[in-house]
Amino acid sequence: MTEDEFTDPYGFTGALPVTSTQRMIPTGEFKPGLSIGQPAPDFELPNHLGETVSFHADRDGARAALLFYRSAVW
Amino acid sequence: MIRQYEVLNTIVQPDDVPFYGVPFPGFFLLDEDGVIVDKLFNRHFAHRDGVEAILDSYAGRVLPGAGDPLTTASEDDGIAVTAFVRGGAGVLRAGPRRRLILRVAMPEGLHIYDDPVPDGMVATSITIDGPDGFRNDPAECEPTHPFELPGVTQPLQVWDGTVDFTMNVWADSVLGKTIADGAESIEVDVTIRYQACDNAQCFIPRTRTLRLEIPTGLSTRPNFSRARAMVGEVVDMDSATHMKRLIERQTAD
Repeated sequence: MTEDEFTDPYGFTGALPVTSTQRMIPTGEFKPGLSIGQPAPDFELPNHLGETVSFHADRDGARAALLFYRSAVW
Repeated sequence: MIRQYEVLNTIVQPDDVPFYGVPFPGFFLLDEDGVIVDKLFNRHFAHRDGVEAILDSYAGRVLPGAGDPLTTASEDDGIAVTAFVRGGAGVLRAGPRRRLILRVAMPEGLHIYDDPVPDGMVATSITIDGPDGFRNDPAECEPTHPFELPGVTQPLQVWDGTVDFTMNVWADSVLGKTIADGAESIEVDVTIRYQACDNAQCFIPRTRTLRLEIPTGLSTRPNFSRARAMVGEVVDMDSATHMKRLIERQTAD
């Protein structure tokens, strides 16, 4: 680790201070997201080919997993 | 959409371009009717769960995959202890977390204890010993149930049958550097201490250590300085287009 790198409580080292909002880790109660038992809202978004995906219509009654990442590139 | 699903990272402020708008990492599972049946979200932005976690949640059970690191042991008390790692096809990389599962299978009639226990008895405990930078959360497990032992005034809390102790594990930047320097695998010792009893007697406390050899691999990271510093790895990837699009989208509002 160099002088301009900072390590957070999870052991990850980065160039930004761990107090910066981009690196801050939620403390206390952490319950993001709609609750289990709630209906998933419908949405339309472009896929990697630029085609519009209509979530509920295109899954066509199949079960689905919705994943959220901070970035698709790492 | 991120707001609709209530997963917006509210710590990042609106004027923080390009990071504002990112979600907390995690996943929802939906049934055929589009109803949320399970979800799992992570506090740390670098953590994410592998597809195995999703499949396990749908299946309602955890089974070791064909390539998952696994070791097992059993002794004359009839209790079989198995340790295995789920996620990433059994390969540990800096950042994404895996799950280390310690499965204890007890013969009918035997049980082991959770805290608190009376003096002279031993509650179940688990310790993990790995190389520098191998991190783990405390073990989580299914609830105990009360059991009344003759001569003990308060009911004890016990597990019986087959019980899984599950720990999130990950490689931090220190271990990420070790992996980047060429380590192809790491050794992790999982130690469980327990005391088994039946309805009439308690047996001598046992300590078992299982050694897992976990393959390691490089994470994929964009080739800019902040991401490289995060894990101590250098992987060439041109993320300029992606970052440019992020900034354009947010500054256009």
